[in-house]
Parts: sequence; structure tokens; C-alpha cells
Amino acid sequence: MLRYEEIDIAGDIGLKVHGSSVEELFANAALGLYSFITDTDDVNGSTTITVDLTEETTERLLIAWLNELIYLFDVDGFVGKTVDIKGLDGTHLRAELRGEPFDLQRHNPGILIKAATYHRLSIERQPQGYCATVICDV
Amino acid sequence: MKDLVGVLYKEVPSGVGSHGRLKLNSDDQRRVIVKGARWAVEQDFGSPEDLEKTESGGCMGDVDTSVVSDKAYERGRAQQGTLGSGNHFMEIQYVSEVYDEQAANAFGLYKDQVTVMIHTGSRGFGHQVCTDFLSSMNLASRKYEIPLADKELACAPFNTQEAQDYFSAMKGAANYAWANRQCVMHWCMESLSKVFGSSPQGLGLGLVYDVAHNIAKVEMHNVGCASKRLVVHRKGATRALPAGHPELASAYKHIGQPVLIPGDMGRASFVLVGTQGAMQQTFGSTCHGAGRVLSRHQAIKKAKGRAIWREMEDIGITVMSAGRGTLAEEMSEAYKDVTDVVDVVHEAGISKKVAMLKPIGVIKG
Repeated sequence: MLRYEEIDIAGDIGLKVHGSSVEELFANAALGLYSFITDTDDVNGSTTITVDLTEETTERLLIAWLNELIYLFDVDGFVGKTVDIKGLDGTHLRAELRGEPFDLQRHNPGILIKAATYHRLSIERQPQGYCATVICDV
Repeated sequence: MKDLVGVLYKEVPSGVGSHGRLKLNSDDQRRVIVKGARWAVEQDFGSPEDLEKTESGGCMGDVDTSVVSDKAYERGRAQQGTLGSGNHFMEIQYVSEVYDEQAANAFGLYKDQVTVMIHTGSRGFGHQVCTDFLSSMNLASRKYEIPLADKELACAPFNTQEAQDYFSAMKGAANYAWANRQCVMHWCMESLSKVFGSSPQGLGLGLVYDVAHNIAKVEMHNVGCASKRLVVHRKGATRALPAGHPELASAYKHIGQPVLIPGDMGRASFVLVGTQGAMQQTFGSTCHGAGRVLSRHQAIKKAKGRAIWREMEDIGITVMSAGRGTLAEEMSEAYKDVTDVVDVVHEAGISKKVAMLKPIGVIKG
């Protein structure tokens, strides 16, 4: 299954994410986000960070999750290589990411993502698993 | 041109992973948020005259710095004095056409003159403010029973605490953006001085205008027969005040506000002037740019196998870009022809054409 794909949105960047479970959906959403920032093949997993978030709904949690990763990139330069969802119960998320700080010497710069938005946000249950659509501001 | 673009590219940080040249502590940051471009001028980035030629003097007052989250401060700290990526740019241009001699003269513009246009904003700081407040505004929309067409358009009545807190943070972000552009402009002037071996004054460098493209303002407007105090939110729109408007600084009061309309990197940008027509029809507003015709994704597909920088070079435009794919996303074909857009607002009378600026050197993030 395709983990994530970019979709056509005038002006912004659209991300369609797939996962056989909600956990996988969240992990793939993060990897899709990082794929806009740089080629994640060039990123090593020397740094580990954990993210702990609580929101009212799974949809809000997905947006909060991506916005937390955008924040961590802007502040620490952290780019993830692997994402391990340790716990996810619909409104609470705990994840461990391995990656490293972005380094222009080794990492190809892509595009800065400013925010994940609620615009056209959806998480759908499908026969093979889950599919989410997220529009990001660039 | 290559040398100049190279120096500008080096002196003004842009693109993913770039760091600003300023090291601000949290007190400095609060001063930026409260003072805006005035803070930058106090640090010797530019001159006090620049503030006269900046919308709202480069500062919106009464910012309560405590409503801004630590996250926004942290995100903004490293990015003050950076260009960003996406459609943010710095362009060296020349005045290819003058449509209104009197206004051009008042703005200090003349045919074949070299100009620089800078397009950037409040960077991650403003976005974090938006992210933080969207959450609380969603709750407020529910509390005040406002049905939302789109959760991204959450809102609250202006005279509520939620709205006032947001307005304060937004003003802080606007001030951050004015300070940012002031710093970037200063380094741009320094770069020009370096390359041409003369002072900014010697080169005749001066600010024409600095105008916000995404902002909410409390303004007086005529509604029916009454003058009313309104919140005008210009998103993808630009303020276009006419001659004589009380909010215009003395430098432009007799002629009207300069309006800067960026086009695309291969064709042109425009300087317009605000009109009474805009006050009557569009709450003192006009267009904000060319607008995209291709999504970023479509543009990248269309540019596959092409060297956009070389195509630009062939038509006399030197381009440098930090991001992979940025040039494809930003190529001319991805945008409407700004000339058509500007003709519409000119004909509608909501601003008037003053000058066309054509690019010769482009820096994209």
C-alpha cells in the first residue's frame, strides 16, 4: 500500500495518507510531512525524541501531531526517519521518533511547511484500513 | 547580475534549514513584538524615515505579549531576519513602464530605474500564533454558537476576550513581519553597497513602501449613510488608501498609498496607488498578487525535464533558489498573468496603475 501521496491543491500542499491501522496512519502522516522538507533517505536516526499529545478527537489529534512536528523542525531542526507510535487511543498519542537535526551539508532542502490545517481534513475508514486527507500551508 | 544575486543570496538567509543572523533573547523578542519595524530601526537596521513609508508606521499598538505562546516565541526566535521559502522572494527589477507620472514621481520611481521587491512575512512565529489560536477559536465558535463553514475559519465576536487575545497576538505577528522585512531590506541595501562600492545614500536607495498582505485592521468606513468602525480582514488582499486618508503618512497623503503587487518571477510586478473607489467599493482594498493557476504539484510535473533556471537565464533573468523544486513550483506558467489581474483592479477603480517592474535577478527560498 502507498504510504502517502501528494495531492493537487492550488496554492498549498495536500497530503493523502494511508494506513492499515490508525497508528500506521499517524506514522505515515509524519513521514509524508518529512518528505516535503527533505529526502528522508539521507536522514539518519541518531537522535530520539518523544511526543505526547492529547486532543478532543482523532482528527484534531492528527493536526496537533503534524503541527507539533513542524514546531520541532522549526525550533530544533529535527527531521524524523522512523516513527514508532507507542500508544494511540483516539484522543491521546504517544510516539517515539528517530531522526536527526537538519543539516544543509547533508540534507537536500525541500519546502518549509508552516502548518497543518483543518481545511478539508478527513479521516476515513476503508476496507483495507484508513485514509486521511490533510492540507498544509506552505 | 550573477555577483549581485550571489551576494544577496548569501547575506539574506532563505529556504529550509536557514538560520537568521540575529540572536534574540526573550526580552528582545518581546520588544520586536511590541515595537515592530521601530525595533529594527533602533538596532540601526534602516532609518527612521523608513517608518514613515511603512503601513501603520511598521507597528500596531497595544500588544499584550503574554497572550503569545512560548512555542510561538521559540519558533520565531531563529527566523527573525530570514526570507522563508515557498512564494517568498527577493527580486531585483527595473521600472519598465510608468503609467502615472505624478504618482511615480511622488513614490520616487522613474523609467529604467532599478528597484528591489521583498516578499516575506511573520515566518513561523505568525503560523504558530495561528495554530495556537485556531484551537481556542474553535471552542469559542461553539461557545458563541457560530456555525463554521470550514474549521480553519474559526471565529469569535470581536469584543470577546478570545477575539481580543487573538487580535493582540496577530498584531504582534504583524509587528514581527514588519521588523523582519526591515532587517531583510537593510541587509539587501548593505549587499548593494558592497557590490557597487558606494553607500546606500550614494546609490540613492530608499524605501518606497512596506505594506501587509494578510492582516486585520480596525478602520472607519462608510456603510450606508453612517460612518462605522469595522474590522477589515485583508487576506489575499492589500490595503489601498486614497489621497487624503487620515491614516496615510505625510509623505503620501497628497497622492495616495503605494500598493505593491508581486507577479511571477518571469514576467512582472506592479506598483499601484490607492483610490477613493476602493473606499467606496472594497473597504479600501485591492488585489494582492497574481494568484496561482497551477497547483505546486502540477507545476512540478509540468517542469519535469526542464531547467527552469536556464529558461529564465535565456530571457535575461538570473535566478537562485535554496529549495529543490521551488523554481518549478514558482515558474511563470504556475501563475496568472499579473498584468491581467492588475488591469481588472485598475478598470474597477479600486487602485490605479503607477508602474510596471520587470525582474532581472531573483532569489527564492
